[in-house]
Amino acid sequence: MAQSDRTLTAVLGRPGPRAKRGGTSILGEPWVALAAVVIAIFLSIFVILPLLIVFKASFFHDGILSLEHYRKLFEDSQYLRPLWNSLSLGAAVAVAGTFLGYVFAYCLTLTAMPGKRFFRFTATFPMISPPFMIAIAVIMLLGRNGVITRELIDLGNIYGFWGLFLVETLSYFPTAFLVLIAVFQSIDPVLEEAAQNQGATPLRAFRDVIVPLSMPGVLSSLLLIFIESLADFGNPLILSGDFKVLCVEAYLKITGEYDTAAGAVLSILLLLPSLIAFFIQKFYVDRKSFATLTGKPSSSRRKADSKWGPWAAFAACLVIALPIALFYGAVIYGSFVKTWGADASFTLDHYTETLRGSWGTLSDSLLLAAISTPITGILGMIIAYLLVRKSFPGRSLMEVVSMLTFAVPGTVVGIGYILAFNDPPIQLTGTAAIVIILFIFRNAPVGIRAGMTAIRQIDRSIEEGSANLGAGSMTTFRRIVLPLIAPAFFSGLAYSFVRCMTAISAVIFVVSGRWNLVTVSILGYVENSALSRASAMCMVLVIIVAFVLGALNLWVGRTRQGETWV
Amino acid sequence: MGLTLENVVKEFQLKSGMQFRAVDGVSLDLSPGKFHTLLGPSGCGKTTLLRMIAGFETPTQGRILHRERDISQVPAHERGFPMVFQSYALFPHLTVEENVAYGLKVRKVPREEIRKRLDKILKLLDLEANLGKHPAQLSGGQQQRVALARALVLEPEIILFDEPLSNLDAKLRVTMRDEIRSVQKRVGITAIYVTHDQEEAMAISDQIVILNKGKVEQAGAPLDIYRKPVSEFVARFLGSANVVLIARPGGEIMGQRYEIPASAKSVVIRAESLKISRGQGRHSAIIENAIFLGGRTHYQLTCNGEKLSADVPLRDDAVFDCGEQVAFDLDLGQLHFLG
Repeated sequence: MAQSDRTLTAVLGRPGPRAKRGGTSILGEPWVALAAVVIAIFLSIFVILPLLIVFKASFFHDGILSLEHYRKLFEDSQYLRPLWNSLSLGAAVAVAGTFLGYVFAYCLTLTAMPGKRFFRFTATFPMISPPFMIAIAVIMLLGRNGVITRELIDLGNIYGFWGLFLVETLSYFPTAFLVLIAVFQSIDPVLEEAAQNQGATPLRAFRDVIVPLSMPGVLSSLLLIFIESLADFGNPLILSGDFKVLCVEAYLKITGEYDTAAGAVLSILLLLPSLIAFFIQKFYVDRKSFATLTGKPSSSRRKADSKWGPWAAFAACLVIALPIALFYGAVIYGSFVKTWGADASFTLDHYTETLRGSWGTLSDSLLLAAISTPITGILGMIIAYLLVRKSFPGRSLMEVVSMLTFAVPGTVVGIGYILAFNDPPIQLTGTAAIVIILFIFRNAPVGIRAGMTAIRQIDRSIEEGSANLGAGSMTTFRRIVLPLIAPAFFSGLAYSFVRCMTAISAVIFVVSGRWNLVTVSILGYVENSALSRASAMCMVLVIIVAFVLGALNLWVGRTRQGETWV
Repeated sequence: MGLTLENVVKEFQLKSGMQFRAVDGVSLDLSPGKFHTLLGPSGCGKTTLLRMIAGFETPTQGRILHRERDISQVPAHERGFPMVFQSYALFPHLTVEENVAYGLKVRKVPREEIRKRLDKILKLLDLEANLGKHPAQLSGGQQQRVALARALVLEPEIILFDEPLSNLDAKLRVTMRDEIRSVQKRVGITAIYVTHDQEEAMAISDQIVILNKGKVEQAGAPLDIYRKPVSEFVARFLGSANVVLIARPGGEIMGQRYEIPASAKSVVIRAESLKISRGQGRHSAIIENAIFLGGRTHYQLTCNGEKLSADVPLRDDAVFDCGEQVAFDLDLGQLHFLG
């Protein structure tokens, strides 16, 4: 789990020191040139092309170029309503999620709060579980037939804005937490002391020092959560009720009404705000962060004495952690009862059913993840190496494109894939290949970013030193560079595996009767109100993911003792 | 009265659950207007002591009195003892001017008054050219001066320094050291200064407090401590000293009999007072090693089984080779005995 933690920090957090642009030209190295060209072709086909096709589809009406759909856009509330809903939900979730993440990250880094390990664990939980797991719990507890609704208090209709707001906030606050924890860790706690020493009350010191210094991180996580909420598919599909959002509408238009054009227009509406947020995040916020500076950081990270401070922090974190624990507890509990809401007797049936009846989708998921994860990892390292250490025309473009899939909502990608690869020349619909390719290009950005950070941190003089001691360049790469980027590589693997096992928004378009995935199948059970069965499947999924991550961590820990990670 | 510490104790809970006494019953008088240095090896409790004075730590026992008022429970922001931190702790998002003015703004000092004080202090510390810069744009020495200005601008009664020079290179360290001392004298402020560098401590202080394992070993003027260390620890920590055991019952030092007070157990021989020559003397020694240091040479010798060091100023007739036999006398009047 700590693994995926670092991964996300590497991607979402502040970038490594930006090395001077440079690098050796690839003209003298045919193999490197070939790799660059092949990667460029693949990126064009599997990242750019699907997006272009979505654009194209939105501009065609009955086979002719037209702005018909865009004209409708301003007349028809079927477009504007979901747009407004998605944007307002995204904004609300971004604010609330960032706030929770801020409280969590602050308490964990800058206070002497007890129970830090527990809270850290809580925050990583939503990251390794299927995205709609909390939604299932919310239905179990707060739905029309939910336990809390029936036994304690009726909070009204949970299907709609408030339900989604609650679920997405809890699901995505870990993003803010990870971004901000990196920011807080880079703030020397002595600065807070310095402010107090200058006469500022603890509160004033917080306002004058911590708040401004963490502002870039706050902006960053606002934008990232906004993107995540906009792209969220699983939760709205279960919980949105009459509150229509872009992702689900686009999905329904395409798969229900076969209205490709309408789906494409909704996709574009979804894509634009995401891209705008992504580019603001990437080119503005990233650069604005204050350098951690002056002198060496003070050796003592000891927190100043305070009687009630740590307990106030503890209480604040508990208020956030308890609902999460409650929701996950509900899923665990629900997976062991016969029929949620009707028959509470204990049973293991759902697990045996999951392992017997759903073994097909489980093994499909595992197989496709097992194939695509190593490819994603290796591809990520190669791209990272090319981007950092080699110079070739179009390098910046390659960097942007390879990161792009991170910002493009899965629904848009999925629609792009079915539009682009349904017919020759590239006919992939229904194959395992389309799922694998989708996984690879959607999950690569994390490995690439982590790899770039790692490679930038390798001082050229280390490589030169190796060469100077008589090692050939192959030996240098194998003995020096590879071990140093190994942590980034494994981070990329971990992230990619988690995403393969839990993602849904894009793959739901490309799965088929032959190749189905467990997340899609869980969603089916939720839609049929088989909540206990869905819970059991979620649990199995979480256990598998946790097990693989643990094994990966153990393996990495054995090969690389005492390594400081990215 | 300045600042008085009464039997101050600070205990920390270690990870293992054990209690660790970082400061173990320190009592001190820190008189106003003077430069006091807390000196000791790392882990001796000097920084913890300073942090208690600043209000970042609360004493487990004992009292800290300022003008006879117990301030040991007063929170840091109400103490008014500005500190110059080891890492300077400048606010990275504020300019030099904003950094220095921060404490005044917090205190709601009127704007014209802030302006006046800023001008004065920035001039005093030669920072006028850097007003609008951010800390990251400054050199280490300039950052150090901003940190000093930020503390001094409050015109405090007491100013605290936590190893402020340890991040500077050797030359700059000496310059800044002298600058701090001269500013302190000019302003007439009480300074409490933590360092592990004995040379720095001697150069700068009116009073040195030597700490060891959380306890005060000795406190006094630099020259007094240097001449009359109360323990072997102090003798060895301050300057370069030979501490030789006195053999009883005869009262012999390195095989030779001297008239020695009966209570003395060992004798402190400063390296620079060991005057070796090729001539005659009561003690003879062999040169084991010679380290040329420019104006003087540091010799390591053995005499009667005892390892000694001697610092000899550079003179043509006093350059010895390894393995050479030399002689010296001990001037009883210059020796310092330890009980």
